[in-house]
Amino acid sequence: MEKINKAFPETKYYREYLEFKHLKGQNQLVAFMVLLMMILTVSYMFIAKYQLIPIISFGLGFLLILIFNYALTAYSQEHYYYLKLNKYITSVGLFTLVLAMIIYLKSPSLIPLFFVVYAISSIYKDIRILLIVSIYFLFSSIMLLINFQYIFNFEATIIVKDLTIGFFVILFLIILLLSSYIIVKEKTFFYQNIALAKEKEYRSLELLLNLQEKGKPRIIHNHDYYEKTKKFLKEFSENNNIKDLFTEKLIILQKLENNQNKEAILSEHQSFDLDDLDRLENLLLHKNSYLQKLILKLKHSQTAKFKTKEIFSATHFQSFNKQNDYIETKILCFVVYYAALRKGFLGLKPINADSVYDILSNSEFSYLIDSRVLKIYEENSEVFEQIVKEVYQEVNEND
Amino acid sequence: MIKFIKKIINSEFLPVSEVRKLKVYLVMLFLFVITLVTIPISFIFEYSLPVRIIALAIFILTYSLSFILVKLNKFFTAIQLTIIYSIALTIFYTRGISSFYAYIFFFITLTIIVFYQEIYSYFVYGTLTLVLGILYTLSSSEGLVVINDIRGSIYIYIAALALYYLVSFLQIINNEKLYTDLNLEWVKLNHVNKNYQEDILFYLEEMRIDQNKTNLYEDLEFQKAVVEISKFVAQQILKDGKEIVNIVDLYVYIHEKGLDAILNNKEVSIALKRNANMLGKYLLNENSDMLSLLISFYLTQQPTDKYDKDRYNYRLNQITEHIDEQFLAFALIYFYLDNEINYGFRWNNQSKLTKVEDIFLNHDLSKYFSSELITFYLENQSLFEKYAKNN
Repeated sequence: MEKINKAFPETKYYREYLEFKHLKGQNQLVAFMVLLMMILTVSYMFIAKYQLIPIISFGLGFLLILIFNYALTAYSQEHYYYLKLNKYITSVGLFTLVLAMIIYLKSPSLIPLFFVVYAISSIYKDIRILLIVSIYFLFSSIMLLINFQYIFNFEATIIVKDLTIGFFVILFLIILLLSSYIIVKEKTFFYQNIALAKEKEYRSLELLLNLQEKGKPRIIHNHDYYEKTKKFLKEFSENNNIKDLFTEKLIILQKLENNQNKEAILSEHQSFDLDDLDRLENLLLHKNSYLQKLILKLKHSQTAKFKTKEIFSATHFQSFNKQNDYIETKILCFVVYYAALRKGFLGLKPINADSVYDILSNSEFSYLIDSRVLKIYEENSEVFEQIVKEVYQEVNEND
Repeated sequence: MIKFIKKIINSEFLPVSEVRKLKVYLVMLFLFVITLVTIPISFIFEYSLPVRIIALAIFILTYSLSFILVKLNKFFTAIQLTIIYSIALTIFYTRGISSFYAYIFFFITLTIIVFYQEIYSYFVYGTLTLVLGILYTLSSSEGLVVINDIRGSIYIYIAALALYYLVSFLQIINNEKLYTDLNLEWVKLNHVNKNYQEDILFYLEEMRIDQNKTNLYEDLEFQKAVVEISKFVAQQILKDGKEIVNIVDLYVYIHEKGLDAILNNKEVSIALKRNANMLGKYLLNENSDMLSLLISFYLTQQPTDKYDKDRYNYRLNQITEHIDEQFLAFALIYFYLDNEINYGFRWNNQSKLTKVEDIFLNHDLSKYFSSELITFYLENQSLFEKYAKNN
């Protein structure tokens, strides 16, 4: 398993969902650019009075890419991988078409279209595509230089021609690839953090429900919500002249709430079966029910309004490796973190040494720690453990 | 260098400010390579020797200035300076040589500007580069065309440059919108998670009291372990473990006295206040980054259901498809929340809710309830309020 999904493996699915969600918009942009290139190419060839067959051929080439693009996007409703496949087909197809145009028209003026195709492909923000296009770019340039040298027979020749060709092509490719790589990573940063926040929210809700069930209530709910709802829905039914379908179900809920035997409930309410009771059980208020989850979600999703400045604030990125922190702070934070996990935090039990090492060293948590501090921990985890065992008289591990 | 490459590879784990810094360093590295190559190449340029020397001296000076700006954390100015530097380098090349290779420089410059993903910088400098590129192409056609070239090849050069400019511009606009939306979503989720954390901490604190445990920062064993391990780590990084002991003492002291008391104390030195302020983000007795990351760690250990596509959907119709049961559930939720607000529930600090309608009217209810339920609520709001008052 890759390091990035180790601590919260579920995040990978949400990241995929985010990719899919935004890929559609990116693909529309790509399709627009392909269409624009098609119009420009066909228009140029008409104006330059080329024969009809090459005009139709190149026009059809662009059209084919667009048809594939459209069809695969439509199929992506069935499965996300069609949209993934579409990225590769569109990028490689467009690059091939430009290569064919250079070879057919024999003009260096078309070579910059490689750069344009590269930029279009980078809209997809996919590192694999960029690598494929880069390799294709490199081999195409070499192939053109070896087999189609006449393309580069410029009227004004310069001394260091061959040297500059190699240098500039490689330099340009490196700049393009690296800049696109970082831009892709910026996108991944958000996808990763949103997916992580979503998963944390899900697990926090579960933890909170457990704590709520075990702990003392923060408020005494001395109201009979079922009774109140019963009266409310009765009046609602009367006001709207509809049959009261609610009262019997609320009576069942009250019985379930009072832990009445399900068989007994079914014998008293014969139009209901066990599946109905199982479903209704989720509507109970006091237990670890889905309804409670929904209530907690509604309650906690209230956030204060925040300013635009805060949206881009780096303070939202929680880590022990903040740019402006001194190394002493970074060391202390990591040590406090480690010692707290091994000691047991608030009412929670200590985490065992292997789990601490595994998560801190082999998961996305490792990126939250200063690399120098982490390296010392990884190389000396036994020393850390020895100190902890000597100092903590009793470590009650949750194995 | 290895650290730098690792940083690039793992840049998705860096905050935006760090990535910006990384970008400036990368561009500076490229400019360094290009400038280095420019020195021998400049001998074939059509410049006189003094012009060549002056130009190169200006480049070296500007480069040094960019470097100083980066060191002073003035990234925005450094970004502007490196962009101007690359445009100047392009002009230097294009005025000194007339060829296809000088033309490529316009693409390199545009790529550098795109790399920063700053919409206004791209609009100003990118457009300037495009205009310069078009002027260069029109004025240096002899260096760009081959013998028996196709008709209007010069216009293809211009079209390619314009298309590259356009694609890059569209990409920046698209990224700007995407990143703003994603950032907003992320910040919202962080706020929501912070709300959960407050409740979690409340219950955990109760558990701690029930178990008769002392506060972690007051626990002498914990303090000793922190001192010993910190000394061990500091000895290897800083070659001296003494200073770290003072920092540990300060950390404990902040918990005892409170951060504000230390920051407002005129007798405390500025250096100490700076350290205290830095440590303030990681306290154990507040809803801090430290607590958040500790809870995150515990969440990794928590058993959870297998992933399914509805994992993050919190919709009522996931429990029941029966609309009457949904009505019933909605009413239960409403009255339950109403009671919590009215009867002493300590609502999260960020919220100023006084009545249950604040929840229902401020939320995008379609995330949780079907359109029938929302209509049911809106059409019967007064009936809901009547029963809510009737406690």
